[in-house]
Amino acid sequence: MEIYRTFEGQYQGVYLARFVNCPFYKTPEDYETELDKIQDHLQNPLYVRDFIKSSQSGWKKGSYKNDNLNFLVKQVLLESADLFDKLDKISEESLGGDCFETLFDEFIELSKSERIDDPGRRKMYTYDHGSFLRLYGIRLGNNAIIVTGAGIKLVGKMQGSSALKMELNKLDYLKDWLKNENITDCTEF
Amino acid sequence: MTNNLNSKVSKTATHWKVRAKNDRANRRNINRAQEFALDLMEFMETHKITQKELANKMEVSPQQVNKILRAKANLTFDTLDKIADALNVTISSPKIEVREKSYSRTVSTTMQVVHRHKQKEIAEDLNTVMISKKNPFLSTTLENMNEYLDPVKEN
Repeated sequence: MEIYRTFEGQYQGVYLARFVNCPFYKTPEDYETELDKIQDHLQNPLYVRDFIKSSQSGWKKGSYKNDNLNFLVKQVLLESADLFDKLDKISEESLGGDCFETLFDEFIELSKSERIDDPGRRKMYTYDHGSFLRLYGIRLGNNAIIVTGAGIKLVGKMQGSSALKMELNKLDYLKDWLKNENITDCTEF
Repeated sequence: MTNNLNSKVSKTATHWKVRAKNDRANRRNINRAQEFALDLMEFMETHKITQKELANKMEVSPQQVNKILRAKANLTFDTLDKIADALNVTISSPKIEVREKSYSRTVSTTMQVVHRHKQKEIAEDLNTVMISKKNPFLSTTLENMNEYLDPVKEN
């Protein structure tokens, strides 16, 4: 497992994961981090269209099954640009001072029962309503989020899509890795 | 003994920031290329035309067609004409039309904020210096530690 900073000299805020020794998933060599990979995929109309059409997305099992394919692809492409703008803003805002509120408000728990889990599985929406995309990460202590991946969510539950199940496994793997390495926070001392 | 996350971090990711900056600057071009790619994909799927077949008809490499479908190609009139001839279709030429002013700029901006997360200008300097709100007098250094170690000397 490799963890990257988003800024030189950073000691809190948004961090990025790269999966290297994970038995079931490896970040492709072409990409610096998982975020780099997501950015490339979600801006690629060929990838997004093929992905939604495939059984991995769960499109035909979810509530968008009657929506036009190209309409969904266009929405995802437009939203991904906004998602990266939002993450860029959050990563800058969380650099100085107490960033607990910023990270806690924007990255919410995956399920209500894990609200106080530390390390805990978290997700970020692009918009307050109607987001197709989710950014996933692990919250560590009060001042750090480690981004593990993203997903196009067209199903009610993550278990309804094989791609989202993989995102769950990646989250769990990082959470266990942090526990095994006894990493509890990102404070200076 | 517990570990600090920062002790495990040795690298800084730069690619996504650079890409985000470039994409923001070229958003209109990217959106156009993406929409064209989607139209093309739909046409190819309907008429069961593969990327390789289109490349052969256009007399370009399959990689070039793939680049167009990934919205990575800088489309020229020449390329558009090749696609049109290969598929026996018409690709409409750009036209100059006066923008309609159906509502004021203020209303337009407000609508944008309501419907979409407002895009903000973000400083792009990758070497941004961190602004720490910590009191500098509270930081422990060898110099100020000496005061505690040898208080008699002060008197």
